[in-house]
Amino acid sequence: MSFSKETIDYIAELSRIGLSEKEKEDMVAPVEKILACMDKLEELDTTNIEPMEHIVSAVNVFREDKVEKSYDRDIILANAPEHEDGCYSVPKIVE
Amino acid sequence: MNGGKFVKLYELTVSQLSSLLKKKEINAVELTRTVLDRIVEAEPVLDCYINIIEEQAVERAEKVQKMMDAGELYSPLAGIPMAVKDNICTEGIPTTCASKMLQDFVPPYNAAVMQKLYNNGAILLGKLNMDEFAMGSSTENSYFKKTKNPWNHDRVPGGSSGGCAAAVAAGEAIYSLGTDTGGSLRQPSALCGVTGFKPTYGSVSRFGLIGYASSFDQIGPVAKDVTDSALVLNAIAGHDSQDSTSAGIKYPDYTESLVNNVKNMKIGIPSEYMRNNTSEDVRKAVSEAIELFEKLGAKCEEFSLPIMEYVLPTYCIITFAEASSNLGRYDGVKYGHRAKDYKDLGELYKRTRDEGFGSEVKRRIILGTYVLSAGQYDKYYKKALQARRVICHELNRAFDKYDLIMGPTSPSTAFRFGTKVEDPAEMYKNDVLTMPANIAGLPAISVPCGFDGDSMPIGLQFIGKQFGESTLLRAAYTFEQNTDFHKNKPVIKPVI
Amino acid sequence: MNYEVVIGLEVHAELSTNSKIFCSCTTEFGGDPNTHTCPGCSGMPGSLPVLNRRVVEYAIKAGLATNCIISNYTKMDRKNYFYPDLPGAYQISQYDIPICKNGYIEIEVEGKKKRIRVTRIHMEEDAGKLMHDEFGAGSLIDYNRAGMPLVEIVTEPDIRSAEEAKAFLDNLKSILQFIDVSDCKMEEGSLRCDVNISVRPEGEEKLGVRTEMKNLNSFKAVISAIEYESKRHIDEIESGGVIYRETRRWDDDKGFSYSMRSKEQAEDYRYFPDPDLPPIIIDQEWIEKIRSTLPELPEARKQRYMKEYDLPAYDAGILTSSKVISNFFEKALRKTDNVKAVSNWIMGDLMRILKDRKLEVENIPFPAEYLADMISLIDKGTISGTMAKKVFEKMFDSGKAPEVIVKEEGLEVVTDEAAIAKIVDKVLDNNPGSVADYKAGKKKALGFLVGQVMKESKGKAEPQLVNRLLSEKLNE
Repeated sequence: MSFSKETIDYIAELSRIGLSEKEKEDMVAPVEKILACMDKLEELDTTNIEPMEHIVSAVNVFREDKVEKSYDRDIILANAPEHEDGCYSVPKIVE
Repeated sequence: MNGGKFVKLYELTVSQLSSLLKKKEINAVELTRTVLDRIVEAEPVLDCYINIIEEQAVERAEKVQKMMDAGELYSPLAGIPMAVKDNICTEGIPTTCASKMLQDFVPPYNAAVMQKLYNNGAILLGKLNMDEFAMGSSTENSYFKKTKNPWNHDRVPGGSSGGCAAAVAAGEAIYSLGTDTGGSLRQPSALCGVTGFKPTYGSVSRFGLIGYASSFDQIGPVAKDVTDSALVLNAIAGHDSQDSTSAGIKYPDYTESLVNNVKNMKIGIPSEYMRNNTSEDVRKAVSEAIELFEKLGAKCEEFSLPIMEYVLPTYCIITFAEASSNLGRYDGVKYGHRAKDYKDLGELYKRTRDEGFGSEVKRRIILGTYVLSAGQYDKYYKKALQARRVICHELNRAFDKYDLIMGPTSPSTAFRFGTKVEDPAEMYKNDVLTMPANIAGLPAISVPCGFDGDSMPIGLQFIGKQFGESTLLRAAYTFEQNTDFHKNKPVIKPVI
Repeated sequence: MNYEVVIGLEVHAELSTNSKIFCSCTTEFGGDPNTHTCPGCSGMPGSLPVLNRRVVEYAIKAGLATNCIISNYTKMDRKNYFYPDLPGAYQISQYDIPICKNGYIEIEVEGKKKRIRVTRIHMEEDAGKLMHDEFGAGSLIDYNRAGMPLVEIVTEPDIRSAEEAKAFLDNLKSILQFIDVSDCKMEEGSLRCDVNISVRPEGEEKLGVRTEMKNLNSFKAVISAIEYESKRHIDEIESGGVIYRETRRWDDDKGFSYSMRSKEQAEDYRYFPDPDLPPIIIDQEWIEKIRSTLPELPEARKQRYMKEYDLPAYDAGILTSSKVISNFFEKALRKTDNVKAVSNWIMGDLMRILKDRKLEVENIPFPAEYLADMISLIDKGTISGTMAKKVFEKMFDSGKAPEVIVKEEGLEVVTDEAAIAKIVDKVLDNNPGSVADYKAGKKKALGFLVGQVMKESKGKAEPQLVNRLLSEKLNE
């Protein structure tokens, strides 16, 4: 299964990773190898098998609608690389 | 005992040290300083730690000792210095996941397991090295450093909890907490000659564990023996309402399973574990273990588990998919690395993530994104979820016949640096024997069972049925009581 | 060529729970930026979601009130995309198995009743808020709103006009308020509407290309946007142009929509079931338990008012347009039998005063019983109808009971003949011209003189008495 350059470009865009051309080139061989391994699953007969979407058998895990004190803003923003007026800041978003 | 000076305190187990502490033959501060000294000695060689918090550890030891003196702390873990893998959040202490992306991240909260350990009087020494974001089998993917195998410094300690296993083996921590997604705790334990326990999925809260693959990740103890593992498990297992996948069962006292008896235990050894890639030395050690178990009254039998062929693709597809989603949050906006050069939001994201992640992480995100993408979802992700159900079913069928599944933890012993990291697909094959337990959420333990021709440790793995920790612990304990492998200690050759 | 406009709506309603959907931070409106957050709703590593039970219950309630089928098995899914208002780079929502489906809301437009089908209702978390910084150089992010609980209500493309859309939204808002799951305050953002619109030649079955307008935040905007966009579609098609399947932004100030070029490529959200959240099983017992807590819904209540109180549909409609008004009406009726008066006062003066004073119905500063009391005062003749209007205003000013106000300010109707006679004499003396006019046959002059007497008596004179005394004295 060939992982074309268009595919890598598209997936890199979708996952917002700015891979350099070299990184994309270097990725092709190992990714194709891993995909070939993944393709092996086609051989497994899974007719009528329900996908296992959850590994725990528990259902209806809820919490009650109680308010707990939020974190102090200073603590929350302490790790923010850039912040202004109590907000995280990013480059202007053009709609 | 003369204050424990004839014996290297850092070589003792939790239960031994706990006894000494209770008898007041040693105190927590002295013990902590001893281990810190050992760290100073061994770290230049082994590089197990990303971050060591000496002052805080000593301060804490003083506090804990006071509490013990006042009769406020009874836990066997009280006063014992330990360390945790650097993907477990520690409030006020940097938690990096061995990644440039989180190099300066200081969590404002403790993981649930940390809180439990603190409540038990544990003393945190520092954060241990790992493969970046827990992705790897050798700890070579760490952004910061390469941890060396204490038994041979040219070899890897395994991964992703390489720092955890190496530190315990070398006496740089009395026990550690690692994490296991596909074998990341058991495999390095095997490669470093220590005991690593992955509990049943849901037994230990994932709150505060920086996620890789949500439905696979579990935290577990890396310790010097099975007794220590049980003691630590008692402290960290339990229901946590902050984790929706936390199991609401009645949790036992795991030490009640430390019984030296395997009479009539039915043990199944998958033939797939004993051929294919598995090296001759490993097969030999496991065969000897089988003989021992038979001698002790267990019934051992090889059986076929053909579903093993689909374990690796199932693991890769689901974990990479979950990881691609879990790692989306690292974008330079809220915390962590942020690119310096960008002209708009798009570039901020792309450069931050290209700069902040290493190549293995990027590869897994790309593949994970791919298998979830429109057009590929059914072929890969949905198929893998179906395969997961089949694998669980097959393993449960095995547990209809056997009380335990047994086999090698890893197909080979520790390999040399640089030999596999260039070929990820090859690297993944190291974990094929450990992956089934994660796919099915089953408990599994690795104990030392021998050495190869190069004197490198070999690990023996037991896999139990869901919440079947008691049988696992009993078998592992029995094996340990009838062998000496776990008592061996590596010699750390100091850097000149 | 005649065209049919085909509209589907996606409405997001914020649920009025105390805490957020997946963490315990408050849902209180307002608050300084980033003061209502925690590691969970700000996307920190290692945080995990835990589902608020009340969110599930409210979603089920909303489904029952809109005639939906409640799914016995449902789950949460991750919708993955990158945007700064989404802290975790995925929104926890529901994809293929929504909690409710196949319901409907009835509307009535120009006397015609119609069912608008509700395709699905699902639970999801809200994103944070983006603001532009004061220099316009960057954007600022506030996560207070991130993690707020939402239900998304999606309709089939059954709507055919802006009026029908408004009727649907009015009814939906009313229902959600009646069952107390959302306060639906569009101006606070607790109700948002996306419009999907296309046109097709009348009679054509195939749907035209649709465009989407997002986040319209007032009913007025929804109507204007629909009217504009349907015209734009028709104009474009008639002039041989092409409609592109796209998302457009509606500028309510300028009154037009424009293409959002940046969102041209359909984003691949890579939905998959959230592994951090176990599935939800809803058994019949739970559904019935919730059903038993449903109050009488607006439509049923409207019908009941029409029957029980003999009110016309229009009046009943207004009185059931909000739960607060409806409760106010019913409470007043516990103290007086004069349904017509209560209804008229509410629909007339009450609504007008609220509008003038920019008050919400929730902020009426006196209990419904006071309205009843005031009506009783009118019925007993203690105050005149005209005076009552003044008293009513004063009730809004001070919140005091009507009897108290009447007493304190001496506003009772004066029935003392001698006192009124005195005023009549005074007025007649002061207005010889009008007297002459009357005597000359201009009967209208009587009205003027009555007015003068009322003015002189500060509106307190009993009107019939004034009339009689004036007539007597004039005809002497």
